[in-house]
Amino acid sequence: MTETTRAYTATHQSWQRFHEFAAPLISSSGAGSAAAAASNQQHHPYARQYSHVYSARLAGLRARCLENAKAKLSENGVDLKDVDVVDHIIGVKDGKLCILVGTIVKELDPKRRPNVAAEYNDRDTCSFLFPEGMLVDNSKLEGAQESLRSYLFDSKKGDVLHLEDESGRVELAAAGAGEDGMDVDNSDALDANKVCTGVVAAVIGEVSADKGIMHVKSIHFAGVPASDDKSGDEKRESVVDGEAKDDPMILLVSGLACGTDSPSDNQTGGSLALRREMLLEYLTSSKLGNGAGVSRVIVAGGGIAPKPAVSPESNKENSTASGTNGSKSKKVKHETTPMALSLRELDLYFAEILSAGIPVDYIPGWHDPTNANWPQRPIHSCLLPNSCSFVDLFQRSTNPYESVVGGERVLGSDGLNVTDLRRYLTDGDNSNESGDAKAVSTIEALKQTLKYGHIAPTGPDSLPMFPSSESDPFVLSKRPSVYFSGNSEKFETALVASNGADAADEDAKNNTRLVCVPSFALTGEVVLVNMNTLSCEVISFNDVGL
Amino acid sequence: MTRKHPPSPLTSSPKRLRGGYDEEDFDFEPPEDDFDYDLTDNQPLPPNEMDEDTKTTIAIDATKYTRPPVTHLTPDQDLNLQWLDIDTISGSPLQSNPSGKPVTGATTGSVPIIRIYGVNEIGNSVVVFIHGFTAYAHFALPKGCTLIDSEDNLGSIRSKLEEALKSKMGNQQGKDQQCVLGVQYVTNKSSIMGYDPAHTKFVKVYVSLPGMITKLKSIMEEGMVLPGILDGAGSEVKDIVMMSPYECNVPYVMRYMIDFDITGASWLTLPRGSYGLRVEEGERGTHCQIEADIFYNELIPRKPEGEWSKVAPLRILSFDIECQGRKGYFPEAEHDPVIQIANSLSVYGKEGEVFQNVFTLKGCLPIVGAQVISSDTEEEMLLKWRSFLHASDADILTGYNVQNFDIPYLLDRAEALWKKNSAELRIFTQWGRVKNSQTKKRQQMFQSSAYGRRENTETDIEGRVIFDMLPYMQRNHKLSSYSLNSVCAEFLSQQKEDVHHSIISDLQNGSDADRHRLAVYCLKDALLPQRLMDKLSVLINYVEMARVTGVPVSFLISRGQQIKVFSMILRKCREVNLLVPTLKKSGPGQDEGYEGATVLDPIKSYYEVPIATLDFASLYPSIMQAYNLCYSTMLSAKEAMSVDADKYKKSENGHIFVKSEVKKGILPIILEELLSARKRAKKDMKNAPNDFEKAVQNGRQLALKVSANSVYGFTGAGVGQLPCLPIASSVTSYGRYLLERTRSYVEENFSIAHGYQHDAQVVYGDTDSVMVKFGTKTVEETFPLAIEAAEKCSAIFPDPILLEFEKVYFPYLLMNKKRYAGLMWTQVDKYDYMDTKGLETVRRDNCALVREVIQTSLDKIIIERNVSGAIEYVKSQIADLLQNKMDISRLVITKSLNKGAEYALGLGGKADDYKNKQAHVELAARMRKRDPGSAPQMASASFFLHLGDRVPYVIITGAKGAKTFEKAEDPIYVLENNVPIDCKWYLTNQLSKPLTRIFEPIIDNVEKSLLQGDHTRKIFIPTPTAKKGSLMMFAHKKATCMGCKAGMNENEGNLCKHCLPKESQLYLEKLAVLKEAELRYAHLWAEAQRIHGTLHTDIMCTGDGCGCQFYRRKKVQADIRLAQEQLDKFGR
Repeated sequence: MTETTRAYTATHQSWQRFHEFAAPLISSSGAGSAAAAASNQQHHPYARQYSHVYSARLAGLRARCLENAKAKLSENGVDLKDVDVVDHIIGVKDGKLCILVGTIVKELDPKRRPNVAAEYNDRDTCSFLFPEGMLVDNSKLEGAQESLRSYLFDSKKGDVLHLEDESGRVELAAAGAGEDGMDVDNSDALDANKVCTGVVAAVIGEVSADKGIMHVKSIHFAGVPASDDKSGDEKRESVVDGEAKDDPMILLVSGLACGTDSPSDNQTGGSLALRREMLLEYLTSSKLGNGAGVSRVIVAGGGIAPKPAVSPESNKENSTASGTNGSKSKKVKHETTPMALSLRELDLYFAEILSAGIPVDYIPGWHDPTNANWPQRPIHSCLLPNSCSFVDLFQRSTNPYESVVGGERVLGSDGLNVTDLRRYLTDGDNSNESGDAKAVSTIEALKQTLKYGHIAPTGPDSLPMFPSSESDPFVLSKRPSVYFSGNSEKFETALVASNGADAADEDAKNNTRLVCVPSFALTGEVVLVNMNTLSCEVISFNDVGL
Repeated sequence: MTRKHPPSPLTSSPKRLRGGYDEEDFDFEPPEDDFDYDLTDNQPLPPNEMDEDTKTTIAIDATKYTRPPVTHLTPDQDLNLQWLDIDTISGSPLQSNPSGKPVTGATTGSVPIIRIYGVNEIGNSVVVFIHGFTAYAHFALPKGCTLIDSEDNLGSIRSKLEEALKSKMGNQQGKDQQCVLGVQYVTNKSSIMGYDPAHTKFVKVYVSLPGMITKLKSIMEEGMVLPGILDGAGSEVKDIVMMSPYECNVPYVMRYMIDFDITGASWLTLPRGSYGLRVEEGERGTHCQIEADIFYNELIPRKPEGEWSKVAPLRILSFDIECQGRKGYFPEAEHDPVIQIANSLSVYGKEGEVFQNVFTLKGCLPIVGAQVISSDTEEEMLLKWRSFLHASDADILTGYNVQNFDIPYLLDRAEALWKKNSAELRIFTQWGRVKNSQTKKRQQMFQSSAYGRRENTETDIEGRVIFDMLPYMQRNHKLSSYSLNSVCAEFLSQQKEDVHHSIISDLQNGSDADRHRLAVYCLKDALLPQRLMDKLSVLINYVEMARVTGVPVSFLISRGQQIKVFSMILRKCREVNLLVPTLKKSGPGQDEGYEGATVLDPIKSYYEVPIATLDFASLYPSIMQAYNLCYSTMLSAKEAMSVDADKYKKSENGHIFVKSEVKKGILPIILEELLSARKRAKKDMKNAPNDFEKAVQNGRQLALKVSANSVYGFTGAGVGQLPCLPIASSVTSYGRYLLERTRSYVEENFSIAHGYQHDAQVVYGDTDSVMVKFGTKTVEETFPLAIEAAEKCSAIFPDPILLEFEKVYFPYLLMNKKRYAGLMWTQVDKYDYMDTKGLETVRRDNCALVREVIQTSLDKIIIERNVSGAIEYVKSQIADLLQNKMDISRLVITKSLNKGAEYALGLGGKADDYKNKQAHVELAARMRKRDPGSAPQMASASFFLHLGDRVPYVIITGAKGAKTFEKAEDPIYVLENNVPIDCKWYLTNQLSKPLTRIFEPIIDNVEKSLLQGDHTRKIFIPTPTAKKGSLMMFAHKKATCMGCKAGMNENEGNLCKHCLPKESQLYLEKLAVLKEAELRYAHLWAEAQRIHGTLHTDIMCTGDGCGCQFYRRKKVQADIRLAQEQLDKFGR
């Protein structure tokens, strides 16, 4: 690190706010007093139900949704006095235009609901919610998406859309647009395939007297929140102290998939290990101009290769807590050994980057060794002993991740939230009768979460989630400058203005850079983001001449 | 036609003459009990109280739930109504006939008046008072005797009977008036009993009130000296003459219905000019919109054909109440208030429900789609509900277990309240259509061979039929659980939350929002029975059954099968001038049995070749027809000697019946009519223009089928109206004969010797079906052979016995008598489904593990035809069980608390009722001691006798030699404390028997290979966690290494020095456990939210049969806690 021109930036890790929700530590007193054990039992977070999550979410987003709905009405010249703002859904009156705020519920007809619970079978428990093939092999991902098409919302098949709050729920139906002067542009019309269960929204419409159905004229989400006050100090600091010629750059990578020799890329012949070496070379060599500008590496999940699909038998082995309590069967050992090897490889790989003085933030992903429920805990220090010795440079982060880099807020995840959301959203106009609706692109889904004002709206309905109670950590309360999701099948990016629409002005402040970080294992690509301009570029390690 | 009205019959003590008898006791109740109306409870109310409806009218748009207004205002047009309910009161006779014809019947004293309640075409409620029909009974003269048929003689007989009756009457109503109105000598009728009946001469006696017939019957049976009776030689008999009673046990209303050919739930026409309308409020006695008076012979009954097969817009009110119980007790009307009443009203012919509302005590937030009516006091709420009941004016009241819980609870609660100074509640119990008449309930034992013995509360609400869906489901569908939740999951694929009643109290004490939650729950409970009714076409099926058998709808609900057959026999006999004797009740001791149906010994095996099933179509009815088995065709052996031998046929067990050419029996005629009507109905069903019509015809053909099949049962019922064992036993003996004959015929003729490729073999036969192995290898080859066999066999049997080929089983696992499983094929190209008989897959007494293991094994054996796979599967399950890897929810057994349990729980009761200790009862008692609030509640003795709380339990390891009942434990407790399960017990007591049965025909030595193999070697028993108060508290827990369990000193961390290098490895292991548990948590709780349709409120369901999997949700919470504790020892 002698003659580096690396543009270091001040960072503030702020994923700690997720950390307190990530399976909080319990005062471990071992054999402790019975009284303590008893009180543990009562306050154990998993003794809670998921209803608190939704309540906290609604509380966190209600005001913003309402504001947006009102703003829209004023924009359309409607006198707000003519519109009832209903505090509790059950307080809604027939036949009067009103605004309701609540959580969207997509209810599949019971007969159509996949019957996972009919028979006890641990193997199947999660296969609907979390298809095994997903993320293991991204080529199957589209297939997995398509197989879920049959569960797409379809009111003709008896599915019902509801809006719910603590007081109850009301059925929603789209009203014919443009009635009585309330000319609603199409983007605000209710479309069941543009929302998912768990999204908080304000709807404007009327409840019909006979059936009690809310005819929705328009729907409004919380939208992108305001950015935090930029502390000018930080900003300046980075410019002055760094004496940087180059703007600070962060490098986003996901799916390093350590531990796999393959998939060897048929097209290029380069193995994944080789690509990783090339990436390392790129980062650490001060000669290659670009890499030297990288001030921070953010690894968005997929650090190790997913273990091969597990046999149901061995899966079962793990299913009973008490079963593995004392008896360590050989199967467990066999299974975890490759994992340990992969981890070791990852550890060493990180250590090399770190030893070049480049800070690394590691976000664990779906197949990484951490717990399952979002927010996921940082990876345990004993698993990456070498990297952890770089106390100042190596950050083990939660998933999702949030930090302030050079004064700019960076938010992202391993991508499961977006992948999960894509199962519910369709692309474009859904009114065509052909029925071959396509899933939205990853970038669209990412945009959508920004619009909802929530990182992971599908949880806890289909994204496994920690039952938080006081507040919902996934509510977007501050506008990020960079917002990414990992493990995409291809690189996509977009610049979004503060109003949520695609940014017209590249240079305008308060834009948000959205990045779908492609899986390195699949594409051999990483993404560089310039933290000053928010411009971004993809670097491919596929066809570097060897 | 206007005329003066007599004072309303209701002012004299009203009395319902129907009911009061069950299968054992078909006679009228001794009138003493009923006619002396207890006036203390029913004093005429002060006028201001009578005027109830004005005070508490509900202020909403009532047209949503009231009946359409009356357009029928004068009697100069025909009045048509479909009637549902019928009863009798005693009142003063009508002095003039509205038709202008002379008045019939008694003109003085009190006379019976029949009230028929119904609905006209546009949906107005109608009550018709039918006057002038006189009750009568027949008494047979001894064989050979005749009577001097002169007016004088009959008159003197009448006065003798009058005298005898008066002396017997005591203080009973009617003793001051003329009792015996007339005597007639009847010679054109004869007894149904026997080919050459002993009784052909009868005295027909008319009495003024129907209740007198019972008295008269005992007088006649005791015998008395009557003038003018001549013996065979023509000389007058001076001794006491005993006369056998005929048709004395026919209820008065049925008598009228039979004599005038009125069938249940049919249409009636009051021709114009023949009836009078009661228009002025003062003369009206009911809440019906139209009241009419008519004489009994003016009414025109309509046969339910063509136009008159329609169904009126009947109104059905489904309701449900919630009560607030005290902690630790099941709600009792004496103490615990009713807090909510939810109602859902529907009208036949209109889809869905017309109106929904809920009455709540204290405030409640509004509910979308339903009206909420809140009251400050319970009294106010109850009275508002009653007003609603009258305003909505339902013809049918339904609900789930309303008959035994909701209705009696409301009545008792009102009584408890007005005894506590809420006098205004006196009018609450007036629910019926008759003004100022209290609804009363009574306990009743109901016994029937088909439905078993059970105690019921019966309530008569004048003019409204109570139709409880719970007993209906119990009677008509075989399910593992009859909770509303599981029934709806089964038939409506809808779940509701099973909220424990201890939570209800907390919700009621909460905020308006909490009560709203409760109200939504309550509304759903009211709505679901109605949906069930709709879905299962219950109403239409009962209407059709009433029309086919001729009994009122209410009889079908509250009575057994017998009354239907009895009604058909009486009707048929009346046509052909036969009379049915009223037999003396035989005591239970005389209930001699006879040999029942036969079962051909099964050749147990696993057949991997097609097995054809040949069924006799309606076997017993067709036997009765083919061999002319009837009361009226029976010959005693002695009589047979004097009859030409080719006129009769001796049955297989020696009873003699004449052939149909000689005298056709009543029963065969009835059956023939039923079956041909069924054929017509089936045809009509096919041609039905719409769904409603289709449902009607389907209901009709079902009713006809059921009725035909119940005729045999009627003759065999030991305590029936007219049991006749010679008939019943002949039927079964013919059945056995036909089965044997089929076997020998098939095996003899379908053989290599007769040119077939294989020798056919009958592998099993039961009652009316024969399973034949033709030796063919494919289903295609089997079909033609089976069809041929069915045809040839049918040809050798007399008409209308028909052997039909229905299905092929392939493969077929024959385990034992009445226990088999097979893949069913009714067409060649595709199998239908797996059919199983007599297996544990549905029984609730077993834990879920048994049901699943059996079901999966069968699936593997029968559908996948993978026997080795099935064995592997079973072995892995047993291994999992023994290594404690089984999810506890699969091991939970539930049983309900029944009679006797209250003693064990210390709630009173008799020690005698609880002799054998039962696991679930002992557990409930123990739990009660632990925490009275959460223990399963004993159903109060009078309610819920069949629906007591189900107690879930698992069997845990106990001290050596501990009894099973000592080892039962609450699953939640087991989960929280990691108590070891007694896996061995589950293996030996739950799994082994059914598994042995299944695998016995397939593999040798099931015991050794399946239940004792290598896979049973490894056993794991967990250590219980320490908990306050448990014994583990006193054990000193020494810190151990998480890796190797070696003992460690405190403060040394969690890993010993040998395991420290393996830290990451150990961490990953613990992590995998946590990860799996977290996923399970996420999945189960999210799914529970979907099932119960709520995201924002906690799930309260604790139902063990519910799809939301209460135990697994509980277990995963415990699992996560444990896994996290382990993992957190590693720090971060």
